[in-house]
Amino acid sequence: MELDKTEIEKIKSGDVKSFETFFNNHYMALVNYANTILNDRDDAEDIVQQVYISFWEKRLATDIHTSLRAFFYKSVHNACLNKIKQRKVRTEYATHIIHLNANSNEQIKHIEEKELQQKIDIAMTVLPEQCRKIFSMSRFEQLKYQEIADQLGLSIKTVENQMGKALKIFREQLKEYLPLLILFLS
Amino acid sequence: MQNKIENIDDLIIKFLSGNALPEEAMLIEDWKNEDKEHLAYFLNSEKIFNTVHHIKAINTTDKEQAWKNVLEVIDNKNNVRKISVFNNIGLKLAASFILLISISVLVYYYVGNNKNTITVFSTTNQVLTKKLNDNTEVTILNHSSLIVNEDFGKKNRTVKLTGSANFNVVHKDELPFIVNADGFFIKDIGTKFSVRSSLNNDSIFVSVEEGTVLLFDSLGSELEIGAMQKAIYIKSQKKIINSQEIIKSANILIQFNYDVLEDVISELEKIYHTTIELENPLLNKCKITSTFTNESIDTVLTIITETLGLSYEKTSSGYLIKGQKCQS
Repeated sequence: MELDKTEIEKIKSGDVKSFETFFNNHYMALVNYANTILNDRDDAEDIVQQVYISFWEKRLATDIHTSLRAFFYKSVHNACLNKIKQRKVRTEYATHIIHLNANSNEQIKHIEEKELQQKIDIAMTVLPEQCRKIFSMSRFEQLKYQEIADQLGLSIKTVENQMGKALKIFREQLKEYLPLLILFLS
Repeated sequence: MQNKIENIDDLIIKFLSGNALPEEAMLIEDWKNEDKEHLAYFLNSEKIFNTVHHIKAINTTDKEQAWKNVLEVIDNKNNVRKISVFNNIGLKLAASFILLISISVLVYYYVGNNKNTITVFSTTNQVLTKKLNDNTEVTILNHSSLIVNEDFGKKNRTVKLTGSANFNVVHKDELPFIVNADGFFIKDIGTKFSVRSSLNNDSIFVSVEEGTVLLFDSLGSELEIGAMQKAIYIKSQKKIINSQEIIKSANILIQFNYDVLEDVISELEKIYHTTIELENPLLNKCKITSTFTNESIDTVLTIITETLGLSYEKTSSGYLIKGQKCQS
């Protein structure tokens, strides 16, 4: 949902109501995006709220030549990358994952966690070798696509393709264990 | 018209794994929202991804409370974070900048996916002076680059700087000149100013010769400095410090983050007004990561040399660091 020029001008001139509308339309999506990068919902919310606040404070000095929505996505992206630099990501995330593993059976109520884990392990072996390697680096080492591409001497496009392939294979392997799954054949 | 995206699985997992660029995130959002089947497909993919990654889905976001948080700050008259110098933190500003003479390289890039033309001025070992289309004069120092997009001078006057440069800006009220130095912004209010930073240094130094600049970052830190004033932005702390305040303070904070010994020595010599020599030039490339707060030069050198498996002694002119090689 793109804002027209009038709406942007209203926000820039200090119209809080218009800003609230923009906030309501995009806040959740921005938090979800930040959360994919940070893997921490609280941090994601803090960052997105700060981006909104910062934009409001600097709105007169801010030149937007794409769209306000694009500007916010870019700002959130940059703020997340800065946040990651501040953290000791791998150590904290490893701890986070261990903690969550203990609670993961809450998500799948009627399936033993062990059985699901076995199914995931089998699905991992079904992945072609390069696909498995790339997926493992993303999952276990928490590496970004660029880092994976650099380490394996591949293009980012190849990494993207292989990760997409992994998702397709997992979707097929795990379909019976996910009660709400609806097959969509594209 | 529906968005037809090839290889939607590639894009979905790129988004879920935190690798999506801002424009890709927007594309996924639009694709999800345009069709219920798309939304269902995405939610199933997300469920699969979270299951494999053992991530618990948390949907406890309270949008109303979030807006209240934002509204409280923007309604508050004191919503700009004031810069303060804490008594236990300070940084002594280096007093001089060294210009090196060398070879410059001029490079043009065309960014296909955004269909924008950008101009990149980039140097390796030479200083490069250019006049932008608004008559602002920029002197780009060695190992630095300046990116100017095609809208410069028309819709905006924002340039992106990596490294160090001097600016002599033609002031325009309707189109402020803004330097984006890696997420830290310097806005001209009719000025001559310089920006110094390096990729392996955590600080950006801004020095104003004439006029005034407004310094700010994306988190609300802000400081206005005038002629003959300086400020430092510490990237890791997201803090802007007025150097006038720092110089008054007797406290010294020094941080090295995987810096080569050559640069470390250069910095220490400026801060402690002493001379530090290396007995073995090969030691120049040794790397050190450490933070010192209110330490004497002797303590700093003791820690550095012990960390690197070296030793040091005092000389008539200052200090001499000795050793054959650094221990890793």
